Amino acid sequence: MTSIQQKTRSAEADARLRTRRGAVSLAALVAILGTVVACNSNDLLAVDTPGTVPVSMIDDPKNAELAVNSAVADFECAFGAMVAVEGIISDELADAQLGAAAWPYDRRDANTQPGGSYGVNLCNNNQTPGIYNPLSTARWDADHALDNLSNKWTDAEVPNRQELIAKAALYAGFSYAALGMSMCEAAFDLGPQVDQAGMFALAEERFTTAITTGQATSQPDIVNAAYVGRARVRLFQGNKTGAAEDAALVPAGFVLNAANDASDNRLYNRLYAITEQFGFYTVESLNPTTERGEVDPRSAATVTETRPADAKSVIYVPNKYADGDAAPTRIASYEEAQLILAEAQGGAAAVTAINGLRATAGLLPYTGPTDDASIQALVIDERRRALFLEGFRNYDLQRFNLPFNPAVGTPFPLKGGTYGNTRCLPLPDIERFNNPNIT
Amino acid sequence: MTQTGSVSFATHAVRQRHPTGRRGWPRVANLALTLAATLFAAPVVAQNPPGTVSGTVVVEGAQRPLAGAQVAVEGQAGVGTTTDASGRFRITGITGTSVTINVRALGYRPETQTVTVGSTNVRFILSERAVELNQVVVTGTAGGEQVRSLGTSVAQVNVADVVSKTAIPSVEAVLNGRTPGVVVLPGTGQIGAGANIRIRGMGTLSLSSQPLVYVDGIRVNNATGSGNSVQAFGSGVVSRLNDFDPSEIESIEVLKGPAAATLYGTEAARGVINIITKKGSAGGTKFSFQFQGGANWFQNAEGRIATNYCVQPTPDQCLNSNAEAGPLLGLNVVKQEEARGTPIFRDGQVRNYAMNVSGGNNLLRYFASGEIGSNEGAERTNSRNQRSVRTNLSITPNSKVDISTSVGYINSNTQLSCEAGCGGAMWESMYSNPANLPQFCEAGNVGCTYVRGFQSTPPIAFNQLYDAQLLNRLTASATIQWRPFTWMSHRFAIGTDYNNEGNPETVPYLTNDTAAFFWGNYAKGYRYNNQHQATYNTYDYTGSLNFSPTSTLSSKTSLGVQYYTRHDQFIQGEGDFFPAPGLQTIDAAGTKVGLRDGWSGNNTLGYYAQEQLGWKDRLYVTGAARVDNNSSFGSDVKWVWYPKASVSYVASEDPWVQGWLPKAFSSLRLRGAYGASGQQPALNTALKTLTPVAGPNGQGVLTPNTLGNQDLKPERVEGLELGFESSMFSDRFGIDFTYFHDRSKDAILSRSVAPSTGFGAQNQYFNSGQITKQGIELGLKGSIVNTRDYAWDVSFTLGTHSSKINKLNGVDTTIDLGSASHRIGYAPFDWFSYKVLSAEYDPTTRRAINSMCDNGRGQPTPCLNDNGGVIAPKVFLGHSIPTAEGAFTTTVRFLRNFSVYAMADYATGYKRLDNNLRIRCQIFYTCAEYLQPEKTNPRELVQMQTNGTLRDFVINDAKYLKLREVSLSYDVPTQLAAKAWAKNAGFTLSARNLHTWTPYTGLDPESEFVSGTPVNVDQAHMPQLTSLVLTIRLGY
Repeated sequence: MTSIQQKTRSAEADARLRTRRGAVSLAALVAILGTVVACNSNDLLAVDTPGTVPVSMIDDPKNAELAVNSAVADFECAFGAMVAVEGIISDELADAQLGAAAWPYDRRDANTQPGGSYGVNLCNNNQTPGIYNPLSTARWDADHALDNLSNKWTDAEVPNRQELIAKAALYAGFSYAALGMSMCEAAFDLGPQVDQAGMFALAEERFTTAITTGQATSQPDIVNAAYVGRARVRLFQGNKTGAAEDAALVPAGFVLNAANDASDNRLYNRLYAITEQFGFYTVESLNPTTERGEVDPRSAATVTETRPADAKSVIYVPNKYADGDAAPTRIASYEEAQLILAEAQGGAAAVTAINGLRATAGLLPYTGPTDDASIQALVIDERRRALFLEGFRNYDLQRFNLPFNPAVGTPFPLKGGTYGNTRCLPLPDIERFNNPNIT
Repeated sequence: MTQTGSVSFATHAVRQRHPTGRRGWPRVANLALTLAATLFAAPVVAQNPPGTVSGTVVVEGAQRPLAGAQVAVEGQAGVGTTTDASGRFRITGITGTSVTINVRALGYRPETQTVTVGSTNVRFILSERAVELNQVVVTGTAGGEQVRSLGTSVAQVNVADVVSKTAIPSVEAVLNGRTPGVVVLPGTGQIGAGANIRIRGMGTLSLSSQPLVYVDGIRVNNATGSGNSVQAFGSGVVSRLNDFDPSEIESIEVLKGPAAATLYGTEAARGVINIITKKGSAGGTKFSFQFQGGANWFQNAEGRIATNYCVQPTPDQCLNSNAEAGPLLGLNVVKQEEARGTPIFRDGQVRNYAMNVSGGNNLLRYFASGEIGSNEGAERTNSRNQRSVRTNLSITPNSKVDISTSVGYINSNTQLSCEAGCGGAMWESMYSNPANLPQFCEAGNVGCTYVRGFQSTPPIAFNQLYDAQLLNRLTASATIQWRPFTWMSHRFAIGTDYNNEGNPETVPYLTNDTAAFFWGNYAKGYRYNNQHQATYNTYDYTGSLNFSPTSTLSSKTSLGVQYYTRHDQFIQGEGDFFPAPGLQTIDAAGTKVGLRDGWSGNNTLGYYAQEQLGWKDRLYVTGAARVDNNSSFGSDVKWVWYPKASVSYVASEDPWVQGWLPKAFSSLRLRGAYGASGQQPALNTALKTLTPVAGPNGQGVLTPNTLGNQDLKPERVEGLELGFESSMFSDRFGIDFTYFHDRSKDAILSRSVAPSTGFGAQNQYFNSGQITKQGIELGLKGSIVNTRDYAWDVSFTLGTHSSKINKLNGVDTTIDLGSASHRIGYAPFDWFSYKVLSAEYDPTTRRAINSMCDNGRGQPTPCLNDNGGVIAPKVFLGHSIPTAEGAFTTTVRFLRNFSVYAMADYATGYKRLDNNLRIRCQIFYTCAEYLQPEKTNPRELVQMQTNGTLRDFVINDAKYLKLREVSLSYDVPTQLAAKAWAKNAGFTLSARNLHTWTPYTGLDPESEFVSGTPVNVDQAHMPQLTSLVLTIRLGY
């Protein structure tokens, strides 16, 4: 054997040895890794999510009350935003800020911008409150709770089930009603689009449920609020008789308020927040008077020292909300019921109802003509003042087909552009593009 | 094998130092004593004893000392050393009278000399290599990989070299323009503000493009938009990447594509940035000091801040309306305030002091540094003060174990000014309005007289706002490498990156009447604070087996396990209205609101295995696979896996190729790789959740939060890259070329949720998109002249990338993002808007009429209906993201010790939305073009008159070439430095952002909103500041 051959064999032997060592070592490493894998990797990947809970939480009958209270909270926040937006689009509030994203509301061209803020923003946005998104959330909350309470849970599981059904149905009704007043169309649970009449019909169903179960469980506040709500949407559907019947059942002094609070932005009185607190908006219709020249205290406003965001406007705060973020916002009231009654009945009955409200407000009574046109004008003007910044004015402008003021095409002051013709808001792009049942 | 040879060499060096050959851990116990002894060790022995050779290794041309070069005696195994910081070496234990000495250093051509034993002044001159294939880079495996074995491109930035050439303000500035395909996208020119880093363009629809960042082997916080939203629009501007001081970084390596980053797993699809901090090297103790002083300023503010106008139909009124004709009144507030003696912007001071000490021996090496810096921006409330320290230790207790620790602590206070949608001096100046001058104010309107022509508020009001981020950050890691056998190595790294951010926003109780007026209700002050802690932990094990089945074939098998955790915690609150001046705590405020706290976590667990076969050290074939799971995956998603395969062929070392390869080629390597990587979805996006909110009467309630997606899995990006590196003309010229083609198969698409579901507040994420992305990267560098007194080096980089969306959600062909869209067949975020082709001017109404738009096929169609609504389709207007970027760099050394360095970077192939122009012409109506309609192109006029719905006139070409860095340096001759008792000294005068060549007419073609949609929008950002900084360096 030559030395060269010996070296070659030695090298081959070394290579085989190294290969064996490598294989053994590799196996050892794999075993180590396998051990690690064998440990429950789910434990290693588990993390806390203390800021959220699974949605199944509100499908547990033990949390039925929480589900309904959550629906109420979402509605109250959404309602504040809806009142603000409807006030801005109408002649109740004027823009006083530099943020151009909000101008389409006051400039009344939001209807040409379906991708704009009204479809996506949330209820606690003081600069540009949203309307479709928060009201849709409130509607879903209430309907979801109502469905669970009515169809999935039993009295054994939820001892106060009927009471909660009434409450959930009530707030579902107000959500549909608010959507119907503000939106030209809306969709529900990824369904097809529904027009305003359709929304009012859905609201009426919910209010009827609230009345029935509220009466069965002796909840007069729920029943009275549902009467106001049903009267409202019956009126909007042209059912004046039905509206009058419900409105007549609402006792004097009744009011259902949104429980505002200064402790959290979601709970703010949105009208106070966007005017005196932040200076983003101001009152547009200053101190409107009755036909007898009296300033109506229900719609009066006071100048503030708040610096307007645009440094140009003057900020007024509505007197009814001047107490601050905790000032309540009316969702339904005896006053609205009386005005519905007046509108539905007309004539002398209307004057009686309106003068009753005026007396309470310390105003001189109406003594003018009582023909249909005069009464309608009276009702419109009275609603404008008595229900000032409660979410009705813009829909009144639409349903009575009142002229735009300022006229379409008039330059939008201070910020540029011209006034458009927004009344109700079209189905926003966020729904149109993401709902397979909308064509 | 070369790498094995390196390890073997180091082993021998250690043994020589410890001839008793003791092994193991007991030596660790003596480290403290060793450290102390090393720090105060006597530097150099004066005379050579028998069997010794000493000398110096220097670099060709400048003759500067070369540290860290390996000096070995041929034929005498284990006899050798490495050069110290002064390039000196001394080898003992040599036998014989004459020996051949080899000197090797990464990045240099090796040199050999035959010398007489006992020589004391041997001098080696090494010439730099344009391409270095033996460099070991970090790839995720134990000990890294040699460049020659990789099938992918790994970009390297020699930070120490960069810092020695010019004053570098941040890590992002280090990366900018130095590696093809790596783009730094600044958010604003404010001092302390961060940028987005984007590698190889945009390949995602809804997730971050930010690469992962590692420091010395551990994953660290890579947030780019932390802090309060001083830009508004949801964007923060403080980047965690810029916390690190460039002067303590040795190098940065960038893994660019999925094929290179496969081993980093399910979060690495956007690439990986590895920061390697400086380490000590064996040799005498070396002290370095650096002092910097200079200024930052807003160059040509008067010319770049717009002059705004109003129309004067009569002398006593000035209107932002074109309804009536009249002379224009112009206002430039920068000029006005200068004349008034109240300049809006300032020259900010730059003061930085840094020192470091390094040294050690073969047992223990150390590097310790400290830095104190104070930098001011052009805005009066913009500044950054930073203090940082770092201590790195490298311990080699025996030939089989290496231990290294890396500890860095950073304390900083970054104060940022309101800008963009937040307001501030930039907003107020950019959108100034002469109609707000005092002469047009109504009598008694005090506020109006204070405004002085600014948009709504004078800068003094914003100057009361303290908006800052106070940071304490500790980044610490320990790595143990254990080589029980020559063919086996293990590495275990553990580390943490702890970030404690305080983000206060405070307005004190104001006593200045003007400021108080504009703060209105908040003139009594408020304080908001968000205390945020983010902790990243890394546990990383990798093992490698090397063996050679035959004499020509080598095998390297690697296995690894990585476990990463991230925990975020915050608590925030606000107090409004202080009862008296001087009070500034939340507790002192009369109203407390918005108290919140919360925490969240995200963990990743992954494994990989890789097999690499090498043939004759010139052909490498690699295959690998990685599996991962992550807390953010949907409940129906378990593990995801990513494969990888690559080949590398050092053709120039193949005799067959050498036979025909032209002599000019010094080296040539061909490479190719295919691999996959991922990008995980955002935290909790897979879950259908409710979130707690405040309810009536103090009760907590729940509201819908995320709709979730239980099938959500990470984006999967598969990439192919092919390329080569070559050096020519004795390694003086180098070329590095790469072609890449990536495909995102499960691109995550964030889609709005229909509000009718009840969950409209948050987007939903889907794995539905498909994007392809391809491009080239080219790096050229050359040493044109290299003599002792004169030298001229040049380099050029080019990175191109084009992206195309192949699929969206399976239903839509377009997802409209406003002026930009995701559209099948186009790149993500391309500009799509209405394109006005023509219009006519009606002098009677002073309006543009009969506007015609592009119908999508280049034909005209009416833009608007009778109600003013747009009826034309949106059409492609251009890319919003540059499709090509790069830089030119040159260094000229003259008169031996002087050098001039310059870098100009460029970007092209994109358009930018000039929101400054839009706001002036479409919102505030202060631009001359709107106010003088008879002089304006009706095509543009009609857009200005449509409340902003038509806006193609503000989407403009933004390509640019920017003279980014220029410096003049003087290296003090050694003899002169010695008079200051220094071993070396130098001066550098550095300037940044001196000039921009661009057709873009807006304020700055670069800045964008860091945390917003990644499209180029220019809106009242501070442009990149110009700076001039003098650096003095002393070494002892």
